Amino acid sequence: MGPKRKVLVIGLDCAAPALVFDSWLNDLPNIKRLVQDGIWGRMFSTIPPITCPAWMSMVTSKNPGKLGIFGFRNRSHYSYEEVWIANSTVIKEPTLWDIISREGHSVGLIGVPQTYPPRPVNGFMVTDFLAPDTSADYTYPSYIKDEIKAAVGDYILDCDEFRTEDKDALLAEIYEMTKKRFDLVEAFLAKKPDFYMFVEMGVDRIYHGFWKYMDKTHRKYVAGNKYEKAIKEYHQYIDRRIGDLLKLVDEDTVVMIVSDHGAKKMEGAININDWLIQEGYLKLKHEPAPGKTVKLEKAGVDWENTKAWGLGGYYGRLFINVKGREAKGVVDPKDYEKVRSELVAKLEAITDEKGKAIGTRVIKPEEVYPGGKLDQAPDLIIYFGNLYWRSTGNIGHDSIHSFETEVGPDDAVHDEYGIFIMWDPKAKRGKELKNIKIYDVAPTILSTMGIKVPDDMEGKPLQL
Amino acid sequence: MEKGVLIWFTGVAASGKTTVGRALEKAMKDRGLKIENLDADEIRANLSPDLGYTPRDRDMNTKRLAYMGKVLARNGVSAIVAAVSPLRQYRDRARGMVDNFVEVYVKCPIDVCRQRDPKGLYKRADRGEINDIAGLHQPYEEPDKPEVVLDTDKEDVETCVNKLLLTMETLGYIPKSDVKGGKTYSDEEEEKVKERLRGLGYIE
Repeated sequence: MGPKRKVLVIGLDCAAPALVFDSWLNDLPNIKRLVQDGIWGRMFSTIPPITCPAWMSMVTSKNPGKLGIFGFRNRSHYSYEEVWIANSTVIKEPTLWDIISREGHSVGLIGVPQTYPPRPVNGFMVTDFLAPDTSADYTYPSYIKDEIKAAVGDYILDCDEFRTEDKDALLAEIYEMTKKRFDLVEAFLAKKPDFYMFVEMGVDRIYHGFWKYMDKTHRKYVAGNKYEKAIKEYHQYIDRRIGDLLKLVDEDTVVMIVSDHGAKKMEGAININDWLIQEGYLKLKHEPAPGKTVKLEKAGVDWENTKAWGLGGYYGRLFINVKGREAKGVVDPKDYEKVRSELVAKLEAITDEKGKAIGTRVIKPEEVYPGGKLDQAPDLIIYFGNLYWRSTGNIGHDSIHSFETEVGPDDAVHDEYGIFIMWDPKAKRGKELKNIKIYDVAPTILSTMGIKVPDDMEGKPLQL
Repeated sequence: MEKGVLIWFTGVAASGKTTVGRALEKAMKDRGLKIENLDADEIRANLSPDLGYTPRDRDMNTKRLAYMGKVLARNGVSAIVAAVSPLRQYRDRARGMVDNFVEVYVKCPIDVCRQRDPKGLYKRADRGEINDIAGLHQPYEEPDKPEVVLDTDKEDVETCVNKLLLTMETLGYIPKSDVKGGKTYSDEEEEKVKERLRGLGYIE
């Protein structure tokens, strides 16, 4: 017997409510139709709002602490340097496709982050940019690689040359990737999955690569530049492709458009380890060579005299070097809370390069991850300038502020709210919902399909 | 106590049932899971020397195997059965006897099976010495909805075993393995992925 309803999930990584709902809805006719006739709203992401763990939290309805992942790179049990990449093998909680497969309904997945290496499902799975390349076994079953080739030629997992100044080339690559993804999604509709979910990464990539050209408040914005409309036009392209796709979907299918988090302009970066050195928490065995920055693991950290160190990314992670926990720990466990609170106060007081307050928020993991496996969590989660500032781990900058990243241009950061739209072709609603959480997505899908929602899911089904 | 799984391999002679079954047995033991391999040839020799390959005998043989699987499974021991079991009714009967059943269709073109022919069955058939091979002289009914299909002419043993383990994990029959992410990549692949993640701004 088939499910109560079929579900199609259109994932747009990073799609920002401020752009999709507030600025451009009238120029996105297909998305507008879904908003007008469906239920919709801003959706609160995970802490932190990053692709990994957000998508996996969405499809398991479990918080990152419960999943034990806090980013693509995670620290091995209290070690200083050893890290592992969070791919599908680390997800122990049942995903939507595990549950739907078990119920005997069919599933189809394309490009959902953190699905590589592929796992068996009752249907098919084309994995994500964690596959080394398309010569690896990036699909389940493996033989659908040939079908992909036949449908779209050389499939593109992700942009290869992302941090480039050649913006024409980047734009062309993003469009080509997105075109192939939608072409493939359309082609594999023939497999008739009851639950069909795909994630387009191009939205995230174009934000990071082109935000400064669009946002007049960005410190690098130049009026009249040729890419001013690049992001908007790309949204219109996505909208057209969604319109084309919906023409192929039957009336029994409930459609969702979701993003894992949103985006906003990047103000700059806080060089967290340089700051920790400046404040006396981090010591090096020797001064770094001038004019060049080095990674923490190459900087010769004097662990016996270091109280804390940090990791970079769209949010900052801070670790405390605790006696008896880390191999060369120095902070007495009974001073741990004191040191941590002192760091919170100091981090929150960091200003911009002109001495202006930036509104940094510092989060203690145990306060936001109920039931979490926190042994791999950072001791502090830092949203520099409420995420307008990213965090850089390299050591040896002239200042604690940077405005260029080490690996090339990037103009956007992540925002805590993504988008949620749910549309039933058989029922008109047109209602904005408040307080939607990323954890509500999986229970909503299961209940739409008529499948019992597991008790330990953290979200609640949203009603159409 | 967790229930065991009855893993039922079906497929024509020389399709690879025994080979994959043995490799799966080892992999499950390596994971500390309780597993018994009820290899059809061994069981025939010890428990059912009375049975041949007529439809009636095949019926009885698969019934005995399913019953043993049931007894093991209810005591928390998983069981592997590798038997041609050419008719759907044999397999469906076994499915109905346990809670956790995995039907594995070991699929291989008969020409490839002929070339493999480890027991020389196809050669004997060519010489007219036997006429009871399923898929050749007797019908072989392909499974309708097996939990796993193994294309043994294209997939190596390791791939097949991995597929089986992952399917049982997906079905919730065995715990998910504790492999950390990094180990799924070669050093070269891991560097490539890290480089991409760095480029995309996720890590530094």
